[in-house]
Amino acid sequence: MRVNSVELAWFRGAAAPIELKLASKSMVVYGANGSGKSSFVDGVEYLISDGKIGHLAHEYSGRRQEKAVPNTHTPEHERTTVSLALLDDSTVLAVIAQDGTRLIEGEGQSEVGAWDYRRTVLRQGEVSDFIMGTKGEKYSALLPLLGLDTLEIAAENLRQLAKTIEEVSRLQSMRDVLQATKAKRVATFGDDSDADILHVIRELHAEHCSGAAGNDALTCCNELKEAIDERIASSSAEERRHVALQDATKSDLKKRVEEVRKATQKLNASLEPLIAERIEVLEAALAFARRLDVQTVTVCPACGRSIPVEHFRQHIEEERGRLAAVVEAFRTRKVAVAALCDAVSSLKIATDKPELDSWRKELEAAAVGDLSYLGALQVEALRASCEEDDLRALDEKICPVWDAAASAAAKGPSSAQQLTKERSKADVGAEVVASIDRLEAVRRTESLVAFVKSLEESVRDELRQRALSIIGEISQDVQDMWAVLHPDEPIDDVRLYIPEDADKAIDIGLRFHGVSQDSPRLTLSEGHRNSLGLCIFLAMAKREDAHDGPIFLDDVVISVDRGHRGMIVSLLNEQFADRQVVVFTHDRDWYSELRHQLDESAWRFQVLLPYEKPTIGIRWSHSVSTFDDARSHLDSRPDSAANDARKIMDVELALVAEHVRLKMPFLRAEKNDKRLSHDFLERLVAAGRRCLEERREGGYIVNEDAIHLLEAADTLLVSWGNRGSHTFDVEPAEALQLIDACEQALECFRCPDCGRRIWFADASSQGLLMCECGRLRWRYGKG
Amino acid sequence: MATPRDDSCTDSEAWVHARVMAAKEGNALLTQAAVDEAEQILREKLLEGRLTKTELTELAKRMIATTRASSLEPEAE
Repeated sequence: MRVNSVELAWFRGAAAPIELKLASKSMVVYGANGSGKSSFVDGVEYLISDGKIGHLAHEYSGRRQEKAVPNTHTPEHERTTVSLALLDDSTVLAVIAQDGTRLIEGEGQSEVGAWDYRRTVLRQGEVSDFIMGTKGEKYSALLPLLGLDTLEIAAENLRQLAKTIEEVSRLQSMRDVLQATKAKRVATFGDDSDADILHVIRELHAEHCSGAAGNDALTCCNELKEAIDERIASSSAEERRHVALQDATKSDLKKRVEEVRKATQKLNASLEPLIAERIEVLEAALAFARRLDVQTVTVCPACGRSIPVEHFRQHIEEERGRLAAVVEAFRTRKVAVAALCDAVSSLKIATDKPELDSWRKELEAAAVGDLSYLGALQVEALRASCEEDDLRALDEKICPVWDAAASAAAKGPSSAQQLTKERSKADVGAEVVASIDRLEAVRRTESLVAFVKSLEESVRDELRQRALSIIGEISQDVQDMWAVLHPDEPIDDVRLYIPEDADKAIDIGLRFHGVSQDSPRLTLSEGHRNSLGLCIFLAMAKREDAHDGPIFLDDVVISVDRGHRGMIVSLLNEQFADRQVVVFTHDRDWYSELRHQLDESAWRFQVLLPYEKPTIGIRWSHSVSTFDDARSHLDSRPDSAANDARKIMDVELALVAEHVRLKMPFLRAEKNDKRLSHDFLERLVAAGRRCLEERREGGYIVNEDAIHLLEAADTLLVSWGNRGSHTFDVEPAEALQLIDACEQALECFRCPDCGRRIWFADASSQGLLMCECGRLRWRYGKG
Repeated sequence: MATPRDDSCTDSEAWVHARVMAAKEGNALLTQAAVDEAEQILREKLLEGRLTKTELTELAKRMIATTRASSLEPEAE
């Protein structure tokens, strides 16, 4: 929906309320640098982006941009506001407090909130930023514009979901438990199958338990364990002591200590050089990323060798592999520490048993190890942090205890050894049975993770296919627009493309003098790059045709030369005649060109006065010409004011001459484009005596008043205009007289009745130009 | 093919269903109940914007629970 007006009060550069009156038309706004043009664009962005302005998102503007959004000199009793009125008279109003808090309301909010900033506003910096951005940045910038951000979010949600399922289900931890059970199973049952193991358990059950074994294997194992424990409890003291010693030494403590030590060494060996290298990689990667688009060979930040760019991905993969190995080393160490702690815990519990009272006394008397250290040891603290000092203490104080227990356990009676073995089978058997369900859970969870990952892949495939299709359509529009801006230039086939070897990337390709290029950064000048950025923005904005939202262009032609700026007018006329476009420019000549070339019935033109101070704020000029620029330095630099007036006339009169088909002598090459006001005025006066007519009393007579005004302007320009640019001795009163004369001379070509220029209507067959009402006419055919 | 850009809920659901069916192919271990639950969750949440950590955890728990619970029951033909 089109915009009727944008009004600012004490917002950015604005002070007292100032209104950009569009009346649902397109508009060109001229203003010198700092006159406040961008404040209007900021206002629109503020409303679109729910109170945020992108270029103010920095550390100095405050959390709510309160240091940048309100006018720095807002009086206490004034409110900072932005409002926007739409064609249907609905409005959106933002009221902003000095601390940046805001209230945005109005029935137009849903319409304005639905506008996509990046398809609505293009600022000068954003044109080059886009072209100079990386492939990934282009992808991020374009994705929402392509309407594919929903898909990207869905894919990312699925990626995160797969990761979360792995975390929540403790998948890796379950895999570790299964691995530990497998090790115990091999140690206890060798290569026996599940069925063989269950058979052994059932046989033992029949031997030790009174009732028959049920169908449930786990219950069977537990009944067996209970029965064996009862047998042990009723056995002799020596047998019980032996079983306790077996329990204390069932896990090889010394081996566990060594495993932790080995895992730590491995981790340290891989970690230290890796960290040092990572720091270098971070530094090198930054420089590398900047060169990646323009080089085919570069220095790999991972290894320091010169490599083809396409090999870089492979290097990255290798680096990822190395990091994965370090992660695995961390895991291995964690498992080893857990096993060690379990062994220490078993020893600690077993040596506390009353059956081993006498054994403990023998040990203390012989000063073997340190049982008091073992008694005080916090196993869970050891599990959380197990350093070399802890391992050394275990070596010195606990391992001798374990050795003594193992030695004593080996000498026990055979009946006790048998009971221990059988109980071990019952324990491991129970773990094996439990692992059957655990294994199934792991497989199901892995299957679920694979399913979610497959979903993500499918969404990413669709994302790619859709992006390809949309990018193809947009590329066609970009090519069409480029052809308008750069006809007959040897740069063509401009297109967006998705690089085959990269994820989440979009770039711009083109053909430069017949040679395909993967990036405009390789060969295009700054002006051409910006022109290309403008084409891409407009192609994206064009996709919004159905929504008929406005387009704001803020000083986007700064580095585009005069010829190509002229083509932008053609582009706006050809491709955006039905859209509301608001062009802000500080380029006076371009503004004049636009004013002459764009259809006045569809376009409005306004000029901002040069900015004076925050309390005065942004102000409109009463004129649509740019002579107020000259007037603004009448007092301080009158010669400069006179010179400005002359320069404005040079441009304006060239455009008038073109419109009225004024015949000028041919000059060589560029001189045709560099004629001075006097050349034009001299010819206009001469031709005007024959061609410039005004309707009076039913007939047409030569417009003598206009001729006099043109002559007066010429006279003053010759005398004071030249002095303004050469001898710098123009007085303020003289400069003012010159400016007024120039402005009046140009107004000769505008009808005081209908307000249209004299070239509004063209009756080619009669060799006539005229204003809308016919009061003024130019009979070029006669001349 | 329905798309997430389409406004109607039905189209979004059809889109999710098509993706789920494609992902299910070749994944013999996942039960129909687990797939149905996953589809239900995805319909509710997948296209509703970026999921928070809390939401992800809740969804993961639901999916895991259904996957494991359904594994204990015989597959319905």
